[in-house]
Amino acid sequence: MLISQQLRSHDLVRFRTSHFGLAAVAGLQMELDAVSIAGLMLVRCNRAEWETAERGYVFKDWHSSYYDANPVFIYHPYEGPVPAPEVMPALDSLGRDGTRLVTACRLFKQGHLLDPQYTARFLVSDGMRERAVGPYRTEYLAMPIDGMTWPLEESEVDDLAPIYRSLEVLGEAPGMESFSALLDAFNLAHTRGVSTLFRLHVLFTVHEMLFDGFASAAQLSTNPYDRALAAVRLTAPELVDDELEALYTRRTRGLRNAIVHHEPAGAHVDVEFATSRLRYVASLGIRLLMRMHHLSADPRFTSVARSLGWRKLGARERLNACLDRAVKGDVAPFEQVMSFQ
Amino acid sequence: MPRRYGESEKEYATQNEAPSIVLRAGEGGVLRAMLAFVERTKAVWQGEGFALALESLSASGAIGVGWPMRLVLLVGACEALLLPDRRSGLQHAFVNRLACMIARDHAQVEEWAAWLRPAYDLRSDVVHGRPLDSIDDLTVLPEQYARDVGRVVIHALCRLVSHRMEHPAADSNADPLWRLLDRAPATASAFDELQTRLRSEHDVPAHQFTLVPRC
Repeated sequence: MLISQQLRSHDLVRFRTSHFGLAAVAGLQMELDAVSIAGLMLVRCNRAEWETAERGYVFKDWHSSYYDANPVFIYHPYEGPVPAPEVMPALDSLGRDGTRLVTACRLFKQGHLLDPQYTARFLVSDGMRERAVGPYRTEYLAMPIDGMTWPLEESEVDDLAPIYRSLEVLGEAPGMESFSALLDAFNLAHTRGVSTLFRLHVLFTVHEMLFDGFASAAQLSTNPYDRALAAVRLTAPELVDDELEALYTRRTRGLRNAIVHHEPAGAHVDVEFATSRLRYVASLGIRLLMRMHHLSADPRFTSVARSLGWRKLGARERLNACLDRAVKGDVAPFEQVMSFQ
Repeated sequence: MPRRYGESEKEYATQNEAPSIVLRAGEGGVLRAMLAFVERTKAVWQGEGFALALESLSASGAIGVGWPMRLVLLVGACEALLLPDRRSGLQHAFVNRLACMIARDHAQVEEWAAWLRPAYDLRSDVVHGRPLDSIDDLTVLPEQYARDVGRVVIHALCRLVSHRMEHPAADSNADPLWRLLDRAPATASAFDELQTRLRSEHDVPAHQFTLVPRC
């Protein structure tokens, strides 16, 4: 007899089909039993549902804590039995959904989350049970109890959904390898088990990918750190304080050189503080870049781009041209970009 | 009996359903040699100068990291390991120094350099958001290319670690190795001089893979 049957005998499997996939999103916490994020279903599974997927792989030590952890899973139903050759592609697809969800959450706000590819994904189809496990397979139980959480409020669902949807659209568009790499780097800066210095190193790469290295055609006359700071001023002015200003106007260049050239002793900056701020700035920059990618693919935006002198520029150049003008006091291009429906 | 759990406490039993590394018969000797090398050279690779580069290498194999970011991390690790004295001309130095670290003879240097050139081009295009035109220069899928570059970097890293054991450098920027690496592509005698310098009693162990330029 499974222990859950002793503890919560009234728990029933509520899924409408016996063919489904579950992907554990470690750290994600919510009050609701189920929500839909742009069509992706998130469910707080009860013990019976969890054990349906886990088979006997439940640890006695964790049973008593299951309802404290109250882990959230991505739930994906299938219309009929999943044939054997489709099992791995289905688990891969669940993994991609999970990565996209975790990326959207990290872009939305700070908190502790782990990609399901690092924990566990399950596929159940009648009597068949398959799973794909990562190096931190029990963290979806451990992280909430350790206080490492990313709480999803009911009021936030509508704000998170467009970010998820936007990532989905951009992920399916051709020629987005550099953007995918940018997201990989952003997520790597949130991964467990890496040092703060390496996190910072990766975040400087993210900054370079967002704000640096332009050809003369972009006609930029400001430096990348001024543009990064402008991105925060324009989108989240409440995050701009004296410390952030000091970091970006006086210390970031020296810090970047110290980290990139592996002389961290010369940084003279609190690296934990710098890491947390660079993360904020990176998330805001990426969201602006996503908007610029969508606009650049929209034929209706062509006339606006022409009027701003951006006709031959790509999304990244357009973002920085916009921020360049804002640094110099002209926020009109930014307002045009944000007001375009 | 008291037990201490880790983060994945039952995986030694359950992950065998999908192992990511399999030690085949006959590979025990190679693994033993690598372990001995790692143990012998701990003083070098545990140093601060290697820390971020080793994390870059490790992260390049992390779950969810696609080949473009993998190349960014690998080239970044190489810049830290092999180009600490450089602030400009990075692409040229990356290609030639890495080629000289792995070529077996002078005739191979240009082959390796040609093979490595797309790695830096792709890294720069990824970081600067440009179209990845250098994919056309590859003779294998980019995923495979990134994997192969990873192997090359590991081989070069082992040679560098071995060299540092033999010739500890107080200031890595002033290491005579960089001058020898920069001269080596020009002539066979300069290449041989480099190899003499790189020769060490701390022999680089064999890998489970063979390095062959595939231009």
